[in-house]
Amino acid sequence: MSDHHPTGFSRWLFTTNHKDIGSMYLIFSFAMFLTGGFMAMVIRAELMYPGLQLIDPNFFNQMTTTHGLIMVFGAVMPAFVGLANWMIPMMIGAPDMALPRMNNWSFWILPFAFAILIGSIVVAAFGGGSAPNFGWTFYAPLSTKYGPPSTDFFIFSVHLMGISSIMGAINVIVTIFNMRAPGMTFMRMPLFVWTWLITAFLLIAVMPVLAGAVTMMLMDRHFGTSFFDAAGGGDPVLFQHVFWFFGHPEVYIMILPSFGIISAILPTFARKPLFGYPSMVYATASIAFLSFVVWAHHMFTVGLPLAGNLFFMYMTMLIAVPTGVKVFNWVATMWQGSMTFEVPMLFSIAFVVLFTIGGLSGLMLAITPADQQYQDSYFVVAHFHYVLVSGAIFGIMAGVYYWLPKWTGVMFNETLAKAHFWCSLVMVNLLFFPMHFVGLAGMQRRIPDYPLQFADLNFWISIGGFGFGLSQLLLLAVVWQACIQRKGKKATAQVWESAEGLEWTLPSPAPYHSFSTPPFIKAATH
Amino acid sequence: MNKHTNQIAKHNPLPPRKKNLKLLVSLSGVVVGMFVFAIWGMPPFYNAICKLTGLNGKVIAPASLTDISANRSSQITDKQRMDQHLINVQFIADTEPNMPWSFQPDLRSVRLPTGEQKQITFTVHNPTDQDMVGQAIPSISPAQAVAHLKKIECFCFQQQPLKAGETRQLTLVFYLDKEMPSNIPTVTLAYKLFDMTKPSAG
Amino acid sequence: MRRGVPSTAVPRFFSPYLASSTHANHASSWATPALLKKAFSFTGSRLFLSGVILFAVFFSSSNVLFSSIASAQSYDMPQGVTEISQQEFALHRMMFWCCVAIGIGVFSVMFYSILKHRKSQGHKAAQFHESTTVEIIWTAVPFLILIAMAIPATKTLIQMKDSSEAALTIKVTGSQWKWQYSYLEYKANNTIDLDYLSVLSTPREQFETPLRAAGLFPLGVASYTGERKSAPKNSDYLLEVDKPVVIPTGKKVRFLITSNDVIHAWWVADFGIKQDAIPGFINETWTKVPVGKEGIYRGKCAELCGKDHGYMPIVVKAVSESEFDQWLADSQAAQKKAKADAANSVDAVMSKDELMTLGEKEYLAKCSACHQANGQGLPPTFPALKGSLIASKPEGLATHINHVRNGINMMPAFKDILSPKVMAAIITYERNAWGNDTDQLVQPKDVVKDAQ
Repeated sequence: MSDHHPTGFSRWLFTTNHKDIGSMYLIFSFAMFLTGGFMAMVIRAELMYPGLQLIDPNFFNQMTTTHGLIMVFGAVMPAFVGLANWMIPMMIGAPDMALPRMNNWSFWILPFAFAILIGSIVVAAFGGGSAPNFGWTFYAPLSTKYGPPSTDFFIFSVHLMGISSIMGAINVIVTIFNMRAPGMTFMRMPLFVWTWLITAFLLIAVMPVLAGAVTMMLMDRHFGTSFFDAAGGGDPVLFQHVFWFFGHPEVYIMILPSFGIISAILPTFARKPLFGYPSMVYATASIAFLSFVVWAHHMFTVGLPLAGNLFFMYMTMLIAVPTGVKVFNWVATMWQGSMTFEVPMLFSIAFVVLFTIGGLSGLMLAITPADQQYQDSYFVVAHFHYVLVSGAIFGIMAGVYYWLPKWTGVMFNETLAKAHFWCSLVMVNLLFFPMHFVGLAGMQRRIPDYPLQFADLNFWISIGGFGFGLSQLLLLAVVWQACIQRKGKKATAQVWESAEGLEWTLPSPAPYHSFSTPPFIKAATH
Repeated sequence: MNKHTNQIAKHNPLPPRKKNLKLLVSLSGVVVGMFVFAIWGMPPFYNAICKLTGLNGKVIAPASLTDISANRSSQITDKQRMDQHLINVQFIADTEPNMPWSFQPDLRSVRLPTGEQKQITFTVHNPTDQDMVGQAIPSISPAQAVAHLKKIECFCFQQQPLKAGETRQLTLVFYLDKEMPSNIPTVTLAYKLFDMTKPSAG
Repeated sequence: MRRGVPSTAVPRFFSPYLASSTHANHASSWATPALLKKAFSFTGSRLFLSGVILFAVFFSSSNVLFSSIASAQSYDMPQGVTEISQQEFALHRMMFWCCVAIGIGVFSVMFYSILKHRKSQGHKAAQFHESTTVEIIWTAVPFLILIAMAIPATKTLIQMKDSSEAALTIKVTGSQWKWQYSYLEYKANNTIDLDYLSVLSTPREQFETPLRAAGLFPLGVASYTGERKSAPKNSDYLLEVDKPVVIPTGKKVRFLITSNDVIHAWWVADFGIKQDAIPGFINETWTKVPVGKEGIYRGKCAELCGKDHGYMPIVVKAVSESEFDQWLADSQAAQKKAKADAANSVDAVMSKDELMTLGEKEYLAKCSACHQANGQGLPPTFPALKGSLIASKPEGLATHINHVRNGINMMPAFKDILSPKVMAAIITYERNAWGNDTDQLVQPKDVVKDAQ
């Protein structure tokens, strides 16, 4: 049964193979990344000049809403699940994921969930009604009493996404708990496996809360309850508490696996073991734990009591400690190494720098009095795009370039990949760095038009936006050449000179069924 | 394949499939638990926190009889009134945008010492030619004052049916208890009136 | 893979400064694919240089922005005029420079390492992978820095809850997409009767230029409905309102903030105030503009509140106490007179021309945001009036009047906002414009109460 598998469409529809499912997740995620990116470029086109040139404000709100939802739930999260599917069994010496059939379901729910969401925006783009237009945070009552009819489809779609994520997370936990090869103790697991394990626990803890929030919305809209409506004794602020109880851990769900990827790549190209492996594990766990007690820092202007503001400010600042430990460990891993700068390393270094900038602006945002000015301004937009685009997404790209030769068996086109890196790096900064300053100067979020004082920088931000969007076509070209055309030099099993870990003991491309016989791990592999 | 199962089996006492299912079930339990917590746990918990801290001024601590006797001075002399720091209590009455009724406090604000009981009336009028039902929801600012504004009689959270063209006085009787923090000079009690008329058939 | 392209061609495109490549540095003979070797030839030093360039750009731009441009207050947080806003600004500056210092520290170590500890430089990798001492230090030191940051932040936060009594209380009510200011109490006088709306006064033709339609593609319902023209924008574009909220300097002003529909946020950066307006609840905040800082201060709605979220600015006019007293008296008198006039004008009978002229002006100001200047609306959220059952058929009159008076769905009630005369004019205009030809005239007395 070594490499035999069904072919054609039914292979993909019914597959329970972790590599097939991982590939489908990654392809889906890339498609969503381009879709959400196209929406971002529509937004930037409208914001290039003051005044309304392209779309009306209501459609603009639909663009920002669906851009956020698609990027968070359609691009970043499925990309991580795809990488987990591909790599976790190979990293822990397991033949497949623990629950392969559930794995298949959890993927195939996603296209339907997003077909619903994207359907409503496509219809709206041709003038037929309004897609969700209340921001990705869908605050009540804008999304309940004042939401467009398509909100019900949105609720259904979010439920589906939630179910998919939960099934994916359960699968990861069961796989890591039960399928490790003999000798693969917890403290010998690669950090990518560790960060994903913690992420999976966050997912099963908070995705049901999101499902609860949208269920309450649905009941408020159609079944006469008043969870979020003052008229019936409810409170719109309750919605924000429930949402951010989900939302803040969600932010870490979108960054922790990237931490794991970077922690795999830096030692390889520094030719030096990861510095402080145990402290990396503990730091990840503390970040995850703290993420449950900081949610109200998104709500510093709703009128919390002083004690509440102080508590959430201190807790938020505290997150800087384990995050700092991670950054210092990465720098210490590079220190005294013997570095080379292949594409995955380039993305990793960019990740460390740009994520740190995003982290530092996050620390500024934690200061409650100053947040009176930052809240809901472009400063916040700059902050979370630094951690999510040049953080999470650069991490994903680093991981894709790192493991691509293992998946395809050929070395990708490095010239093109480097062009992709440099274009992305320059453009992402042109896009997001000036946003800090328009935000500080007072430009608020989610507006289709702005006072003239912001015109100069917004023009350049838009140029950066188009540039970053178009740069991603280079990634498409690289992946196309490597995966479809199979062009390139044949990759060795180890691919990178000093890559360590079980996945590099398998031939490239990795066989359809790997580790049918579990390897025995004697020493730490990280 | 066989060798693999054997090794795993040697390593773990339970056969992997059974073990996987066991873990699957307990993790699903966590998922269901968190969902139940979100819908049936968080709103009551939030209300409890609001009650405790006065957050958003939503829940106003009802006064019990013992509370009243302990806190209320039956006789306040003018001298006492002069000595004591007076707190300015403001009243706001609003209707939701689509509510045709008019609704006003008969007095915009009152200065009173802690412990003194005060009666305030609000006038509500239904100018339409239809019988309607309204309901007022209170909100108090600042939040720290919520626990100390004790109401003896109130019309909030109660449905108020008004016939077409009817005018009525709604009565609020309250006092500020003695534990009222001294650094609060002004307390605002705002009511918002909502239309609770059930849409009649036809 | 396009082997034909020499690998040095690409980086030269990105960093023209590096024309001479560092080929000499990678003469080592380690066993990697030749392709990788080729790629390594330029990356290390390029990476370092681009890092340097990036930082030069980041920090010089921040420096330039802060010191030169920021002196004109254009690309930094405004220092503002109140004690609170200045403390917020000081905290922001402190945090910013701390973060810059931390960033420079971490990144210089990192880029030093990138420059020196390279394989192409022949550097041999050390094999250390832990050091308890170092790890304790870099856990403890950030913790201490955070405590140092938290102390001033806590102080300011406590000070923001000032407990002195306010001289003036103003209720601020947000609604889609305007602010309503009600003066409740001034110097213990609780019988003030002053209440007005404040809406964007930038003419809509300055921003609603070309494509005024739903959707992205001008197909189907979505189509070019306006002319492609661009009226020049004035300097206070989107920052101006018809009636600013007026406050006295040197006095503490307490704002009670609430909303009539969705959540808004009242943000005036110069006062350091941002407070959410929550429907059904009141929040409070306060400000005290020092004497001598009289002037116009501008703000915006900061919380997404629907379609025209970007078009509900705030203008605060701070005037001296005496000027404020005068303004308050005058405004109350004017409002009283307007109400009396409105009551008197109820019996007036207006000609069609009068109604249509006034109606067009008021419609453009009050209704066109949703129903559009051409009456075509933005269906389905904002229905068309042109050719609609209610506005273009004689039998729709009663419904029409009731909708304007009491609102429906997202449409607010106008009966307390507009005088009967204005309501009558708007309804008449809507029933006789854009090809609606009911030829019905609606007089002020028709809209005083709900139609039967």
